[in-house]
Amino acid sequence: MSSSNPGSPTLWARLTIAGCAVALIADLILWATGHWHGKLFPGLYALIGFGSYCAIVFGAMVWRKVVMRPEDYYEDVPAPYTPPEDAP
Amino acid sequence: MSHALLHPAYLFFAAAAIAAALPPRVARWLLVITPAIGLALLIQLQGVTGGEFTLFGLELVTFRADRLAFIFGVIFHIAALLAGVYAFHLRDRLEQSMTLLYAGAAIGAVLAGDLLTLFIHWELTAISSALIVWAARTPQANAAGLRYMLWHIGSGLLVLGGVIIHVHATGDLTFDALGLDAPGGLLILLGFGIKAGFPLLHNWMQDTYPRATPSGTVTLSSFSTKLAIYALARGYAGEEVLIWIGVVMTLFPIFFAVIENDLRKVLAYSLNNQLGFMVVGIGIGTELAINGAAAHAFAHILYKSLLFMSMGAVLYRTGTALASQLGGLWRSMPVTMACCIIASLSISGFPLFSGFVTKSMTMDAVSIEHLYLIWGLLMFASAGVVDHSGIKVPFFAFFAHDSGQRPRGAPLHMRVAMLSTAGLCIGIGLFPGLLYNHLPYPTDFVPYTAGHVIAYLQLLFFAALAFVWLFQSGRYPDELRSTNLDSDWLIRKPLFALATGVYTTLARLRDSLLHPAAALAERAIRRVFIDPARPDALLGGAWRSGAMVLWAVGLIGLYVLLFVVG
Repeated sequence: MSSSNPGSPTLWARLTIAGCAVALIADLILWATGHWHGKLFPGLYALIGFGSYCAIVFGAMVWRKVVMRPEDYYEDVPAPYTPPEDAP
Repeated sequence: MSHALLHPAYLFFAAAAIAAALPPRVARWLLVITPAIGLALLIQLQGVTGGEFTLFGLELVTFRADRLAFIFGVIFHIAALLAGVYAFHLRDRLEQSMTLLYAGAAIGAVLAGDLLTLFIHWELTAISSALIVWAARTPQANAAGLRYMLWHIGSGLLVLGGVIIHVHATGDLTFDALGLDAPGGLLILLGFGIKAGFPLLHNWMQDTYPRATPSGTVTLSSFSTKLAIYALARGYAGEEVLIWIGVVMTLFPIFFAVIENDLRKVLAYSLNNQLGFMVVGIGIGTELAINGAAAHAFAHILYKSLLFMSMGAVLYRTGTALASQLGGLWRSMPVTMACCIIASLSISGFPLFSGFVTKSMTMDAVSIEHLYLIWGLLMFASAGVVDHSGIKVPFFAFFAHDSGQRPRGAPLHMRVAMLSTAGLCIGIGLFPGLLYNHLPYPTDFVPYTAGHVIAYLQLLFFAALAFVWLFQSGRYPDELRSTNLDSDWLIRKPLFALATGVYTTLARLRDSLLHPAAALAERAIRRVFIDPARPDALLGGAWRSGAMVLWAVGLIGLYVLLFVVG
């Protein structure tokens, strides 16, 4: 799959990394020019974003072990949706 | 009284009645025309209070379009209009008429100036929305609709109980600030809490929203929960317990959303999480926080509708909304994909989109009050929003692995509805003043400061980076076909087993007590009336003359007695 098409994971990964770089550099500039009041260190929000996301995903994987049951645990699996017969 | 007659809700009620009688092809126009006329009416009546009358000595105010009610009334009309366009393919009188009734009831509730009017419309939203769930006409929707109805009727009964206590104690029906200390305040709060999706009272959302039709879910997502947010903002602003309830609401759904396979259910969890931000704002109760809650509700209705619309379009074309069955749809449904991404950026709070300019208000209100722990937890929850609605929904539906499905694009009316909603999401993001000018309190809040923008960009991009790392390294959880237990397990398993056990025991007890008595009575009746011809029957065989005389005397005596008394 070419990395220039919208379905390419590589394209999205590159865009994300570029966005991270821009956000971090802008933060460092703001920090250096003294625009931040009360913030502990540059990149705090980056750390919160990355750390929280990982914690949520790893937490959810543990949670899945507790709550996951077969698909028909409560009732039959629903049939696939079919639109009305004369629908566009 | 004239304002009562001009009440937009009654326009919806009339349209619902007409839609139920018209052929569906004609009735679908009512879903578009009615909200448009209703919105024009409401704008004319902005700031007006009217429709007052007295019932059993109590003052009722059926129409109050003050600033708080107005902003919710406006967004309910817009949501109804967009849902009407989206549902233009419907050929189902039930769903069409109930959509109008539901929207009208929600509008009537936010414009209610007294608790009785609020209660009546509150219950009407419950009944009409349950019928929207049932309109899917599947066994799963029927069962879920019944559970939904029980939750919402329960909510109404709690509100009614609280209202009765309140009126009994105060003699006043006015719906304004109540607080937990007010008579009946706790019951009313619990009633509101069910509709708002408080923790452990929330699961009706995740249970029903994925089971309704594509258009039904769009409609359902817009009204009930935001009506509850309005009611909380009106009655319980500044109630501190709401801050913690709201925080829990923002947190627990994000763990469920990560592991959920049904993307419409993921959105239902996401909805729950977003309501939490609003509840926190209401709990703080300052002008900025209430503005934040109202603005967030406004923006949320739009981007959440758009997310449900895009997943509805996917369901409509592919027959499924399961992440494990989808992927690669960007090729054949590019408009739907673009709209879904706009909604995802909006809900994630990306600068230039609606969520950024509304959620910033609540976050600022939290930090101004120096609630740093709350602030930290909300930031944690914001990273969860990036996952469930910002990345997971668009990624697994339109990208990820290629499912090989190449459905047609969404129908024209769905694309029109989605593009219009996407336009509003961007419009609010670009011109927040248009929304800010109509918030409950005047505000000069500036969302686009360097600090705000960079903070959110960092949070969002680095959360996305975490996803990239986890996904590419195979650490992101697979999308698995499964059922994940939630609080409804308590009702559907142990409580159901308990109820079944109690019922069976009572039935056995009844049989063991009543069966001998019933058998005795049956034998007696049979002997006296059914088998009188048998010689051994009481009325059977030949009577002796003495007995006959005794009966005759008795009957004549009874007749004389009745004659004398009469």
